Amino acid sequence: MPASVWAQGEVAQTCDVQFLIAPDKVAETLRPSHPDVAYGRMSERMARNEWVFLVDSVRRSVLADPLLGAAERQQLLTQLGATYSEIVKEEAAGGRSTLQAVKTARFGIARPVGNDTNEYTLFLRFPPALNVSPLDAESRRAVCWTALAMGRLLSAYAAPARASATDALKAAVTRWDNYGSKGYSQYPWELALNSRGYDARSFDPPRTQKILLHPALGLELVGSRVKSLDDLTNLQTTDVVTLEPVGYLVYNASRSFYWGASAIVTLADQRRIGAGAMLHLGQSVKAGYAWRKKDDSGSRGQSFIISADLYQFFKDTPQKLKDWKSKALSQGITALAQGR
Amino acid sequence: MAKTILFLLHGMGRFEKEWAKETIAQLNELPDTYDYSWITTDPADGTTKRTFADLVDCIPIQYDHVFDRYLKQWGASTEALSAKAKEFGVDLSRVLGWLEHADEVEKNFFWTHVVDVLLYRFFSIVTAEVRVRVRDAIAEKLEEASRDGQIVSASVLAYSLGTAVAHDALALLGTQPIPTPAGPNNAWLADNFTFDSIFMCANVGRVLETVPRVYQSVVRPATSVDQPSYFNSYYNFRHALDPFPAVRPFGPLGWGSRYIEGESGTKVMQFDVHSFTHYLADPRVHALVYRGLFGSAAVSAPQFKKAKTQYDALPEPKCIAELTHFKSAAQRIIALAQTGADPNALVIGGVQFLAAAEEARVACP
Repeated sequence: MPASVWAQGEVAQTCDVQFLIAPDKVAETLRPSHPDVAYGRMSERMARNEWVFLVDSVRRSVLADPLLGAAERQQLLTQLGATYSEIVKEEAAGGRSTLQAVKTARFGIARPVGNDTNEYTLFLRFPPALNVSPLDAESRRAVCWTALAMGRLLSAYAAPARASATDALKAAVTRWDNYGSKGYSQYPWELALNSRGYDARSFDPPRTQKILLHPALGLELVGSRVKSLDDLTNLQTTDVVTLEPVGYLVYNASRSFYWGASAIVTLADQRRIGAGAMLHLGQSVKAGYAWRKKDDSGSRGQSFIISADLYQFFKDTPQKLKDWKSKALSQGITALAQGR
Repeated sequence: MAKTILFLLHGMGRFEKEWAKETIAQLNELPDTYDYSWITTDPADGTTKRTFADLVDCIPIQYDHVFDRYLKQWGASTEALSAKAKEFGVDLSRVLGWLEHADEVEKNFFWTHVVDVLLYRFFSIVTAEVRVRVRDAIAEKLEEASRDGQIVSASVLAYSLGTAVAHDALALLGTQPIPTPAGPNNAWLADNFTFDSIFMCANVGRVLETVPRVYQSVVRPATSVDQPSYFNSYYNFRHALDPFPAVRPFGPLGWGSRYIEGESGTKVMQFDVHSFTHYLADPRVHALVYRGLFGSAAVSAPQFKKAKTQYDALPEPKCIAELTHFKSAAQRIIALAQTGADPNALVIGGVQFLAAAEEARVACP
């Protein structure tokens, strides 16, 4: 096996978070400096939110570390100084819930790429970069373990902001779920129309929706005048195809409900084309009224157009109302009897 | 030992929940096939056996259900409406005509694959939903892995349409503060998280780009000039006979030593050279993926050279006539697609290519 592979094995075990040697495998004298052990030591102060103190203590230990070369020490101190100032600023602005100042990726170590290169690089994104591979083993360990301990500290610092951002993304996904499952369907031309002017970088689904030439199936209610509850159940229904030439809908904040109105044209078997308007209240409630030209018998044939869900609601309502009425009556009678 | 996270993004078409099983199995087997001993044996002691799966946590990300929902909705509505309209003697075909033959076999590739490209590129509502869902899937996994102050090592392997989706979602995740009750949240911005590597197979980012632009976004390596970056390294792979990445080839300037353009594959192991498995099978692709994930020692220079020789010695399909015909058809499609160099050219070229590959496959089973 080429020597470079083994050499990188040693560098990787010192500097690569994925291949980092376990604390129990290093000499006892080195163990306190191991990033995981150092992180454990910091946990109590982290719990007390003493972040500024912690960064300062890392800075002091870098200043005192005899294994570090002058150049590496200076680079670490510069980056630690920047982090110190950022945390002071962040804390002054009210804490770490949104990360307005701190750059938590500062101490990242990049792996080598290409043919047999061996360049683990620190501060690649926060120049000047520091190639740690040519350093002697002790100096490299001091640099990398400080960087890894700082990486863990800053990862912990960012935890509340990460959780909050991730929750916000999850909430946005829920709004998209609602928009997809509880919104009003869109045909391709409507999707194209509604996509115009909508920013593809948005987190949230559109708040409004235009309806254009939207065909659908509906129910037309035909019957005599409704004089009693029973008349509702006796209404005759017939399937119709409705076409909504134009319309406009508005969604609530969670995109779980919408309301709006549209013009409608109705097409039914052996009847004249009707025209009217339709009201939309979420997926279940769509109700409209259509007019037709007078037919040969002189009848205009106005009709209600409703969605199947709404029809079911109307159909069930009279029985429910009767049930409630009789229940109320029996409760009243019982109450009166008890009052006696 | 913490595993590195590898997010996998699929291309066009419909996928099962377990869509990445084959890809993961392939990434597991290749180190044995090509004797990449660093991956199969722990270099710390030189004896302990290990596998790719011991080192990497593969996280498949699925976004095709967004396209599927619209297509199913349109298909179902069209069917019900057309049937009812016919009863009434009403012809709705003018309104619904564009979908009349949606399920016909000859248009299968369009409706099962390439239509995704159109939906993603031209319908910004669809684009936004896909981007949010991908951002959420990535952030959720990273957040979970980062708990207790862990340093997370994460990379992205994207293919075909997935390259555009990955670019767009990550470019936004890395630059756009997330609105939260406490204010704009910068937790996932490029200053606060860095991915290791992004691997783009059959990159269609340029031809499908909107905003953010692929050459201006943070989806770039750390060595690129004067721009913030979200990745330490960027790898780009294309096959010489694949028209999808050829329509507007990806070729940034000034991205430095950590932008790695893989050698173009030329070998035809199966007619659909656009397929993800065909890309990964080539050491020019998978060896660089391993290096990007584990460091350059994962595949040494001699191992890389040997693997390429071994792969290039594998036999191509035996039907010489079909193979020759397919290669010339692919080259012609690429030339035509490059003339258009826009999403329409991608769609047309893509459908023609997939049909040509299928025709060759049927003729040469």
